[in-house]
Amino acid sequence: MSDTGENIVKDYPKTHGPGLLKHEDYWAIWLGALLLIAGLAIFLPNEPKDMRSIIEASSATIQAEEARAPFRSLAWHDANDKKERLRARDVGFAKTVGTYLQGPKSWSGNPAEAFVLGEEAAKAKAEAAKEKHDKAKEKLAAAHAKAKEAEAAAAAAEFKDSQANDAARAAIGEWRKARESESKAKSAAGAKPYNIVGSLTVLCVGMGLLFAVGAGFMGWSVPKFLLAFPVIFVLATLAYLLAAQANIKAWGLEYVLWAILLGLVISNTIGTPAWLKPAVQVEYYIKTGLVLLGASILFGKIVIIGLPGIFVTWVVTPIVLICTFWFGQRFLKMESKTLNITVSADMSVSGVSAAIATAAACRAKKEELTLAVGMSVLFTAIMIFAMPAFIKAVGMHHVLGGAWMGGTIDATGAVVAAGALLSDTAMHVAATIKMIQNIMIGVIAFGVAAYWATRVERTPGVDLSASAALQEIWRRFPRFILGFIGASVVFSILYGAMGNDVGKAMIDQGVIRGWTTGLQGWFFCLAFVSIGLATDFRELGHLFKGGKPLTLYVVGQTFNLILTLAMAYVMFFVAFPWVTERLMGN
Amino acid sequence: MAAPQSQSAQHGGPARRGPAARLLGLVLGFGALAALALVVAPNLARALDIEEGHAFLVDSGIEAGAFYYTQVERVALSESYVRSAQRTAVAARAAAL
Repeated sequence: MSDTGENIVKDYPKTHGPGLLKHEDYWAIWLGALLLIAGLAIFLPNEPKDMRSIIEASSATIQAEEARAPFRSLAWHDANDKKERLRARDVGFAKTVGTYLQGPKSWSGNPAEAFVLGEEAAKAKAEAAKEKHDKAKEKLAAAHAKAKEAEAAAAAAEFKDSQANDAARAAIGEWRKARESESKAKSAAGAKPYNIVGSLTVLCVGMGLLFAVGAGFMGWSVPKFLLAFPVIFVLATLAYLLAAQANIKAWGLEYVLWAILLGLVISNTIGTPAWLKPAVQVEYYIKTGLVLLGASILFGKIVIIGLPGIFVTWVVTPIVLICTFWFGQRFLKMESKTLNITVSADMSVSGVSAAIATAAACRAKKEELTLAVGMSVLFTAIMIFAMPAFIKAVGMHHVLGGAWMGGTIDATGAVVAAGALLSDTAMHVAATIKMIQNIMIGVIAFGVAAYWATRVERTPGVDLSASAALQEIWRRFPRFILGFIGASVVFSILYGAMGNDVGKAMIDQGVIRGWTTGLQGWFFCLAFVSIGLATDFRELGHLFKGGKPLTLYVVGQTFNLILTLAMAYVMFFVAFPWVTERLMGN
Repeated sequence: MAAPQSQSAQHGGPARRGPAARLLGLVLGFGALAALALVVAPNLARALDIEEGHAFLVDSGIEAGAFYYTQVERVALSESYVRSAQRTAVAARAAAL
């Protein structure tokens, strides 16, 4: 890979003196660290009221109920719901902060409703939803009574009658569904007016100033950057708007796709205006977003589903990644190794997020990232519907089907959607498998960066033994990856030290979901708008020559489907069938 | 000093076409995106006979377009369900052995 200026990462920053303030890699780390520290300062002092006593009481109930009943009882759900409601992002100042990070709201017919809902319109919406809510409340009450009765019958038989247990499990499942419907109907019936134009403006100014600080230190023209930034922000908002349309959302067509397309339309028709180019900064946005993404890579979550989860994700995924990359080099003779590894990671790990991290780690061209993301989004939209339909058609066990989908469908949202189309059990298994796979991104990015530094880009003739190897790695290693991994390590330690329940409320449902996820989404959106604005269609056509990337994706995904299914079968039905039995109790 | 730009950023679009043709291209491009979002996507489900599943996803509000687990609300609930299943499975296995 040459340093022609078309890569995600262009050069090798100095590690001392002024270099620390002159390079995007370091500014990604400084800005990422600043935002993470700010997040911790905002969220950690805001504990939900009575958090620790609620956790203590709920945990005791959950433990007792798990020992008493072979399924999750009504009391178990009540206690778990109490714990799930503990979210630092819903408390005081943290909640206010969260409102400033939100993008356009979900809409179906009128795009203006994504930004503004007037008082009259809100009232009309609430009144229209009232009847539905009343009916949902009645259904919920009836379902609860039925579940209570079924559970009492199972308890009367001391939970030894499998028919009574199954009946109770089914009735409780129906109650949960009724509860979810009621909750949705309630929020529709309680529709309130909103106007997010003000908060979007504040967000635009805030992000513009944040990036302008680094831009100033790096010697760019700050006024020119600040003049162009709002336009990039508006395009990013438009991308979010399109992705928030209800039908688009159900297809799993992510905002990154719309961001690229909007940028591409502009750059390939009227051309990207010269005055806009100072804010077209792919690397700056993407690397800062990746440092924030690092905070959500919590290593403690790997063991959630025990060895079956580890084997289906952490064993299968690297095998598929390495084999697909090898296939691309050996048989397809891919001209670009960076395109090969980006598509391979995108397909085998977790779609867009893995593609971004890998492309940045190996210094892929932005057109290569665009191609990988485009294929991922397209195949994901197909697999959301095709996989559950196939699993239903062949009568596959839902734990197996869930694990299969979780390990193979690229995007997490699409995995949850596909799982929900099958059953709740499939959805829970699929979502958990995907989450464990998501956590692999850090290791993959680190591994790819190290491989590129030592194998692909090493200076010919350099002896890679002992200290020379370390020096070579250090010289070529993308520095922002250190910020990415550092954020992951710090947040994993914090989460672990707090314990799962407090960690979930304060870190996962606090700093991460209430702060870093929102910011990181915006940064990636700005990056993909910039990619579109800086990409020539002809470059994409050149990369696609001979259909090699498509062949790579299809062959790799086919191998992924076969290996994941085989491993999931072995893990859930041969090695650990007793885990499967309990998962079916979900 | 100006911010660095990639070579592609500098291409500035197809300069050989006239301003009117370029503007028309922009309008058509945005029109095509709007048509894809507002006409093609909603009707494609009907055409592919997956309307029921599509309607379920629209109604459920699942963030199917989210690419990372922290962007999907339901993952948090799935996590606690699966943790419980794993915990009880291990306890039951230990008791059985």
